[in-house]
Amino acid sequence: MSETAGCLEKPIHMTQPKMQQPAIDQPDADRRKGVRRTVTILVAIVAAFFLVSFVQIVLMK
Amino acid sequence: MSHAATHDQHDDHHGAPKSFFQRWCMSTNHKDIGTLYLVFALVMFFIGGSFAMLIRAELFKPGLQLMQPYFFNQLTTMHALVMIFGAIMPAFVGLGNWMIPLMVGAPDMALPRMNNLSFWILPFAFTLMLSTLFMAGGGPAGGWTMYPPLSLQSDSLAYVVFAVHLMGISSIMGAINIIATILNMRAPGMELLKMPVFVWSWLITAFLLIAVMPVLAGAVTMLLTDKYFGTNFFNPGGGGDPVLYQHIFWFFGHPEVYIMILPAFGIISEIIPTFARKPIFGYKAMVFAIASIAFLSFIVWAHHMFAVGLPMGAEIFFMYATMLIAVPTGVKVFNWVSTMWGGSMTFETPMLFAIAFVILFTIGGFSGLMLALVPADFQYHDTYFVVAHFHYVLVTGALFAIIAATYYWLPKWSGRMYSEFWAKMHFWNSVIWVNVLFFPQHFLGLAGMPRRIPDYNVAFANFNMVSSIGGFLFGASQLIFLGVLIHGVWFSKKKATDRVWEGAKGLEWTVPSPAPHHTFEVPPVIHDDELAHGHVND
Repeated sequence: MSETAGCLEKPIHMTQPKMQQPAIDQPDADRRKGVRRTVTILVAIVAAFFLVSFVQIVLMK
Repeated sequence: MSHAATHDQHDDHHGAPKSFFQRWCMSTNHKDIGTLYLVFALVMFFIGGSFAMLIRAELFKPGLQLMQPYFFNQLTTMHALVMIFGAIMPAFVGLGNWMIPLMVGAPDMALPRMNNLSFWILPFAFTLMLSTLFMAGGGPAGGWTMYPPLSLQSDSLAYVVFAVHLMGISSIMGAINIIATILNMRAPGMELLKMPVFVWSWLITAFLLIAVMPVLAGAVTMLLTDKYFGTNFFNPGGGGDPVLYQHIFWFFGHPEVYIMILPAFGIISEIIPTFARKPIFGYKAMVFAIASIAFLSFIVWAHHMFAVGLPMGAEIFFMYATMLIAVPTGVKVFNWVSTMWGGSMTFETPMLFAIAFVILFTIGGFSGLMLALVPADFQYHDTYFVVAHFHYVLVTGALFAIIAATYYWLPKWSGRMYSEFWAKMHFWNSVIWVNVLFFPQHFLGLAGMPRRIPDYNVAFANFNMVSSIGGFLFGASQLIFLGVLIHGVWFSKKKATDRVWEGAKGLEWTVPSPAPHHTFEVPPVIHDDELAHGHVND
């Protein structure tokens, strides 16, 4: 099935003029996954900074 | 100018919500939230500016004129807090919200609902903070740095600490949103090293925000526990050390200075190439210079504390590290001048403000180098020389860049051209009076006038009078700005073209003016020729 579909539809990048980028090369799902991963990492960094501050406060008290 | 290929003509198939509440309070649209940020910043700019007018009125003559010293201290503290956290930072976030998705070809910010929350926290935070002025004990009066033990004497400390926490949460959420947008939402073909310098500057600034806002939150929380919960972090009587607070505060505070200037660098790097009709000179050097400045900003904090009695080795380290910042900053100034060199320049208002930025920010940078010298700083510390220095950096630096950006992108936002005549009136009045306002303060500082005092020796009277006159007229000049904005948004008959400026390059100029409510819902097809830095890797 998939081979037939592959024959009927050329990959997007082959249909584009030479000097243009493909219109869509990153599906929405990938974007969402990327956003989730970025946010997770950044929130972890912020949480770590807050935690260090909190530990510092507790230890110094 | 053939740019039709890059623009989806059907972007605006569904417009903004009709109801005022739905559109402005519940908005998840990056353009509307950007507008909210910019309007909020403008309101705060005039509130903070009115505090400045009162300060300059009190300092017009020696002796107490209008107010008691404690209220004067509240005004200086509030002026700084409002201008830094309420005007400059939200203005840059507003510009980032409006322009970053348009510049990278994204349909919106990565986290639109969090974007709404980031903004709507701010009005509550500032209402809370400003309300302390009307309370029995008055507002905070220990300076924006909130050094203990002085700040602990204020009855409003808890309000201010809570307000600072809210601002910090808003900034962190905004920063996360900007990083997630830039790293994940770029249109295909918009490689990192093809992004506009403004986008680069915001990416780096957002990392700075994430790194330092939690540190500020920790510092002010320790102030709170010292005052209300019996801790002694900063109380020598209980084994604490007030200098510890200064270290923690300035570990936040110095990167904060760069949070307020790096996006300005990005703006100037957009405007100068447009009106010089040349690509920016040394694109990669500009990006790496911003990154270098951001890195160095973490290892220079103690230059704010030379006078507290640091070990000699530390003073020498922080002195040299601070002087090192002049190198990447010099690269940037050199590249801006080189971009203009041989260019086909015209002098519309955004360009005038950009050129004024380059010259006047450099003056602020040079006085910063003077302050970096440990032996000299012992004389300059806590004098009006410092006040002159940071106002050259923040007013003729950050604020002029924000004004330049507003004139540059306003036609794209509103679809109308502002009045060039009145905008130039605004420019010339601002640039003349801002120098009358702040340049004499260098002399006052060198002569020994301390900052944060409502009264002073008669020896300082003349320069203070000149400075106050400059202040009143600079303040009045900003009313012209307000008039130009109101006219340019609602009443101007002159419609803006899509590209607006002849030499403008970048995705934001490929959408119609005014920018439709929704743009780039289908990722644009990017031609390198359309990008200001499309051929950087060739």
